Amino acid sequence: MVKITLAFGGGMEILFNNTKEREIELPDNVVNMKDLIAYMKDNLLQERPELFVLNDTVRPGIIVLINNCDWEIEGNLEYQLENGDEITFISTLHGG
Amino acid sequence: MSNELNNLLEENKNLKRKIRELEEQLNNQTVAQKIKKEEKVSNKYVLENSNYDIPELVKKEELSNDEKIRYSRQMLMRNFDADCQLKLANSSVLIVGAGGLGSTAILYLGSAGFGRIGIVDDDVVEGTNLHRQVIHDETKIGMSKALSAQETIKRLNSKCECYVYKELLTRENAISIMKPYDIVIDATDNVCATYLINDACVLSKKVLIQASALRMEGQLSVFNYKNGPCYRCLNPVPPPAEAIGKCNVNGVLGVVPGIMGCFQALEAIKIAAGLEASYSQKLLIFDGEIGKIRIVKTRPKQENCSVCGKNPTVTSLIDYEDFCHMKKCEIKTDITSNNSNNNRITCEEYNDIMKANKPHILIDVRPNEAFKMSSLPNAINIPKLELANNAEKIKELMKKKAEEANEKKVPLYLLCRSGVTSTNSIPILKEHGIDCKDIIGGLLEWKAKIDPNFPIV
Repeated sequence: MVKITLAFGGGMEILFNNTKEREIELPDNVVNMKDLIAYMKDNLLQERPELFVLNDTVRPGIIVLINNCDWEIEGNLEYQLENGDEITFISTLHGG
Repeated sequence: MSNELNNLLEENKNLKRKIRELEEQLNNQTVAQKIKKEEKVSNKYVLENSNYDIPELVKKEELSNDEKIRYSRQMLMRNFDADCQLKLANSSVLIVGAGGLGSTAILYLGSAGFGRIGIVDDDVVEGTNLHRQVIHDETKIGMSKALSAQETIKRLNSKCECYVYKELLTRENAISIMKPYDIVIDATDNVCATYLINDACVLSKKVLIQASALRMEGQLSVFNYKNGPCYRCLNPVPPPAEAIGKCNVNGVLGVVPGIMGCFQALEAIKIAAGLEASYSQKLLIFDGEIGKIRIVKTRPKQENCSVCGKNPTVTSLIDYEDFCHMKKCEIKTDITSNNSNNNRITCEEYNDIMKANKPHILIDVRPNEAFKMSSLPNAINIPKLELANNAEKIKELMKKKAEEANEKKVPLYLLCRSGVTSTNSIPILKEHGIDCKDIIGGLLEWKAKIDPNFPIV
């Protein structure tokens, strides 16, 4: 079973039970980022899915990191999740 | 005797009061005169009316002896020598925004030895700014932020040329304002300005140091630096308007934008001095609550970027409010408020209900932190996100209240800060079979119409 750490920031934590970091065990059918986002939407998200997903990916304005690296470099939705991965969702901030 | 003493004491009291009043008057006059004088003196450095031409920065061959002494402590470093300091003296930086980020950025850039700095801000100083916008102070309330920052810099470092623009950076003026500067700092507080500044920097080939802060978190990156990515490479599509948090709603801990502004100043100093920037194609993500700083690698410059890519579609500045759906958002709020007026009551109507002691329930749907800071005396707090889970509790409350009042049903009213969240909460309760109305304009309107002392801004 694959175990990963989810991390949230920039306000994304509010949608996920106000936790900034949590470990989860993934069901066998969750193998890549696309599956993970769908799984999170159906099982972990508390409110307002429109603030998390849009057209089967994350909405614009969310920075997604795979082990502290922009997910765009790591293969985006197709990235295959591995045991011990840290996946981070951080909303871009606009304030100053 | 005691009568005489009492009279003297009374007279003394009156005289003291009069002295206080006169002192206050005098003080107000000097402040007003001072501001007027400062505005006059600094006139040459205030650019307006679409005339943004400034003389070219006079390049120095060598630092003066005064400069060598003044900056000696930072020129003693192994990797920051006299050549670096001279490069600063021959460099210029433009800071867009003299708010929370801009305050510390401007203070450090003004002190560092830059030959020239520019400050753009159309806003005026307010009391609620002072916990984080430390370049301003109580005597500056009501004054232009750009002028206030300029005044501080003049006192701090009279040798630093400080130009100010007391206006909003727009698609019309951005390129001309940026033109004479080497580096641009985005210290603004909104997504439209960030895209505008990014595009203008790409089009006029300027390095951009961008940062933002909210609550206890901050983000920073350097864009358009040595073939690195621009803001659009990372964020090709702006976020939906409803997903954007603002300082006046979500709050911000004063020191956090200050920290991010310091990082911006540091990067600007390094770049101007000819050292390597640290956050190009990298993103600094700061979380002051858990004390964590992540520095993450981002994607490189994107070939298909609409402004800095191979075949750009954005070749001149566009309508950024439209691009960031800000117009649509305003209209949407309008429609909601117009369409469902039968679901809403005014502050005056609610005030009558309260004064007449009519049985009802008032739920304040703002977050718990906002409610704790200020609320109406009879309100109960159930934040919008928790309404659905508390539907049964609300029904029971209404039943109990109706029984107490010996009535079949009592009305339920929803309240928030501005009337948007409360309106959007009505359908949530409707779904659970609960009828309710909300109060138009929320607590801001309550403050404007009913209780001017209500502590909300």
